[in-house]
Amino acid sequence: LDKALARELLEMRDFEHREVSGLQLYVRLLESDMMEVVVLDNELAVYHTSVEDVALRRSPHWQEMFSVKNIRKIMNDQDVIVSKGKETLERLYANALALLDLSYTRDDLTLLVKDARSALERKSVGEIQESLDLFVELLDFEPLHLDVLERNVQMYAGPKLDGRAGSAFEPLILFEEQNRALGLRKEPFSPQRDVDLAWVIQYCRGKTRADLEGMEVFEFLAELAMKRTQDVQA
Amino acid sequence: MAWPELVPKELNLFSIHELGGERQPPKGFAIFNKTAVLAWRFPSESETQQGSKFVYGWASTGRGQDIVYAEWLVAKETAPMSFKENVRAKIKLDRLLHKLVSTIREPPRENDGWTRPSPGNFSR
Repeated sequence: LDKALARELLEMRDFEHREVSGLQLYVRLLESDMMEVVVLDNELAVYHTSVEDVALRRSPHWQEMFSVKNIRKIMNDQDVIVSKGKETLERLYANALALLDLSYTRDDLTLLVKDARSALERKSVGEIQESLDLFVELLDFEPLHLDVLERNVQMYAGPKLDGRAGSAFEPLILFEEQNRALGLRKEPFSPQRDVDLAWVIQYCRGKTRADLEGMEVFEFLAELAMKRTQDVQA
Repeated sequence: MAWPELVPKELNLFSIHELGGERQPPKGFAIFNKTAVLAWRFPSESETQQGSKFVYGWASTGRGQDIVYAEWLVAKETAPMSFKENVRAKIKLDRLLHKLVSTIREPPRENDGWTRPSPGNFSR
């Protein structure tokens, strides 16, 4: 387990860090005296009990080993353990996600478009990339990697049209860092279709143009995001 | 805000300096830990806009010359995240999960006393 990354994940939730009996614990109150305790080690176990109980079970003092009750606790933690390993990661992810408010209005999107415009005007690769990342996240686009490309062009594809493997994506965003060139193809695109791959190669060589370019791309994505949220509400 | 609302659960003294004359005058005071007088001021509007989460305070031991400067984090002062920050946090969360899932190793399954044969061991 990469502990630095796990710590980052834990810090996105309302956990308090404590070091008890040499254990790295992340603790939050569940109810009255019940705590949720995450032990930051390779096992990444989550317990629902008190901090003292976790310390006893995971790092007992030799004096505590003389009690049969304690030995039973140390040998069997099934009564208090909630999850381990990947299950804990998924649990922490879901909990942290529940704290985020990802609902939006047209005003929120207008701000994103404004930032994108400023990024394009400044020709800042980092800021353009961030604006792109935000829309890609909002619209569930997927990064697409094609080996046929000669230059470093990032591509993001919209959801598959009929949800089946091997079917076409729509639309396709292309971002070429070196020239800060941003384009969007509205037509369906399939990596399995030679004619579509040929179009991408021609675009990267500057021999054909995308349907939308520069700021038009962000404006289109904002409209798409707005339409999507209206569809969900309807 | 009244003083009791401001008292943080844990005073996190991470910097203590002698109080210089250039600091702004405190806007209130209270007895802290029965021995020290703590004075504080709220962050200014410009500091808040810059994302300052600190309330500045000066603690005195009561002997006049031992005035110290303290600052601490007040969770209540944290502004709610904007929509953009929420989306950024979601992106960070997705990336963290993706990286972590690829690095974590699942614990070995408990031995059920039966060794599964490989498909090659079967004969028709």
